[in-house]
Amino acid sequence: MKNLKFTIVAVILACLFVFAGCTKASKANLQNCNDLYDDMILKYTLDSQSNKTKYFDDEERVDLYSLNSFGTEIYNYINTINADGSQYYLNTLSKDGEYNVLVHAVSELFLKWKNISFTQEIPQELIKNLYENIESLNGTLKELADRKDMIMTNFENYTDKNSIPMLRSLKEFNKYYLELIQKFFNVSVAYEKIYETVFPSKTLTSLRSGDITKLVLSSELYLAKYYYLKNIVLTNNYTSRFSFENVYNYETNEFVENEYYDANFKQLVEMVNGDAIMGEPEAGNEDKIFYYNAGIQRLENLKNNIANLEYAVSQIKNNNDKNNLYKNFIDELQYEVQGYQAFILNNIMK
Amino acid sequence: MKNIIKFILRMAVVAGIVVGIVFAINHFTGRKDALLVSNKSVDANIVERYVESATDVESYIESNTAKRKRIDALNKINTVLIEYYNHYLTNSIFENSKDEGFAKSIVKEIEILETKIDDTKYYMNLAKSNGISQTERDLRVNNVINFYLAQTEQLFKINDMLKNYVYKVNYKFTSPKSVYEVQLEMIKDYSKYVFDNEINGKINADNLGDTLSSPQQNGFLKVYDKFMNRQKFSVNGDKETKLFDRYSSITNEYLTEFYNHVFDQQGYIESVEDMSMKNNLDALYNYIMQSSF
Repeated sequence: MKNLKFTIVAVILACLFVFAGCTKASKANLQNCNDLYDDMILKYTLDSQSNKTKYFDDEERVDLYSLNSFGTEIYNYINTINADGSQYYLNTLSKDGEYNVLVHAVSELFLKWKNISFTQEIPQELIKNLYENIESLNGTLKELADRKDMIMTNFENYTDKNSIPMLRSLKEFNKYYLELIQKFFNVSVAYEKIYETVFPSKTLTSLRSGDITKLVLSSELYLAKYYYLKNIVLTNNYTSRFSFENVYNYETNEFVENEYYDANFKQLVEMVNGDAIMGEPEAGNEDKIFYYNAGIQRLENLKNNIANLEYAVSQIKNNNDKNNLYKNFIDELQYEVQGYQAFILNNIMK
Repeated sequence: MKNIIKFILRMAVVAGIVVGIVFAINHFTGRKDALLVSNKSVDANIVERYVESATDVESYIESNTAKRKRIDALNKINTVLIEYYNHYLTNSIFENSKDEGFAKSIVKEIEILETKIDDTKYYMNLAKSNGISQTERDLRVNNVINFYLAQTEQLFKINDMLKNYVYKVNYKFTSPKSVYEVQLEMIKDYSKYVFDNEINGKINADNLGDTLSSPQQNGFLKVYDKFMNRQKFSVNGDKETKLFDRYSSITNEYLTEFYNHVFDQQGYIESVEDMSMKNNLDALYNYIMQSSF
């Protein structure tokens, strides 16, 4: 009897173990990942009549900008009410605000990754990783949609004396918006890992179609991460306004020069919005091969420094930067980043 | 009672194993700053003391003399070395792999530097003493200069070790990772060349002769000025990126020879037959000489 009990338990455990390895993610292919992403985008859009999030089940395709519309709708309401304490969200939630711009940049990157054609086989582990990251992104979008609905509800009950619920819900919304950007980065990084198997970062004597594309997309990804870490995560400041040359001063009611303006971020945005790849090189184009080989090395250095930057930011935020070493590192890193950005623009994308 | 004791012992063993595993994981995978710069094992104030150690020594040497010019150049060289040191010390706090032995040897050399700084400062204070004859003061100033030179030599040594350490432990490639590091490397190499050939063991020599128009020294001053006044946010990425790309394929010996000739004989580059080397040197020369940087 005892042996039978043990056997039953062992069989159940074995089944669970096998079943655990048979998740959707572990059996997915790239097309599944793309479909999952498309379905996810479909789901979250606005019902123009109720201004509440509506869930679509049909075939209608929705512009990716619908993600941006979350922030824009809230922006429009805040602008109308001009509630005390809410003005500082205006810059981050506006259509051209950093959060929206970054979300757009990383979501555009995803579309571009999808369009690279190749015939090589991809390790299943990497596809599983991509699938799981898209599922995780889906989870955050759901949270964001719920928070947006909460804000709309609080707007309806808003009075000058009862502004706290709305402000609280704005803060919650921003928290998930930041998480959204991070999840988008994770998806892009998962895609980049896949393409690293197809277009590995190594010195080449001749270039194939797709090599330059991958270099540019990887560059855009890590440059975007740099601005995200340095200008948003490090400052932890919902008033981060680094993409505006001038900003509105609510005390003096006039536009003033923005001391945080980062022209290089704007340049990156133009890169991302521009044509993905400026034509693949002609065979035997010595200059292009030379710059490609220099580029992949510099990109690897940049990726290494983005990992260092992430660590430096966490140390600073945990008050572990007694000698200002991490701050010095971040101050110096901007030279490398700007130099690399110029390198990509002048030598790879032209 | 026996069962309770057994249970407690089992829990204690399990807890010990878990703690051991967590500790081992953290120790072998956690980022750690082996030079302990962030915990002040390497004294971050060393730079301040370094700069103070030989302060004002030039004011004891007659201006417009070859000796004074060499001291001025030595001060400039030390400015470069300090920037180099700060840069690589900052980057040493990130680790992708470990080499505690190497880190320890660097810390040892820094400790030696600290004693050399103390020596320089001691003899500088002696040279500043009141109530001594001019002859005595001159002798004491020469003494300070010797210790200042020894201190400089030590910082050259430490900087090379620091850079190699960072390349090994932090970077994925064993070469400069940015245009800024190429600029630093260039000016440091040139400084070493000038230090070895024009300054070390030569400042206190008799009959220095008129070295005011030495191409090497003048060349160094020009390159130094360019380096110090460079635009940190590069307006023309193209020139700098060409420099970065070309620099990695030029050897040290060739660079030294380049510096030796560039201000002396502009046609030097034209005479180089190897096309790819010529392009490299052309880019280097343009970068140094063109005022837009």
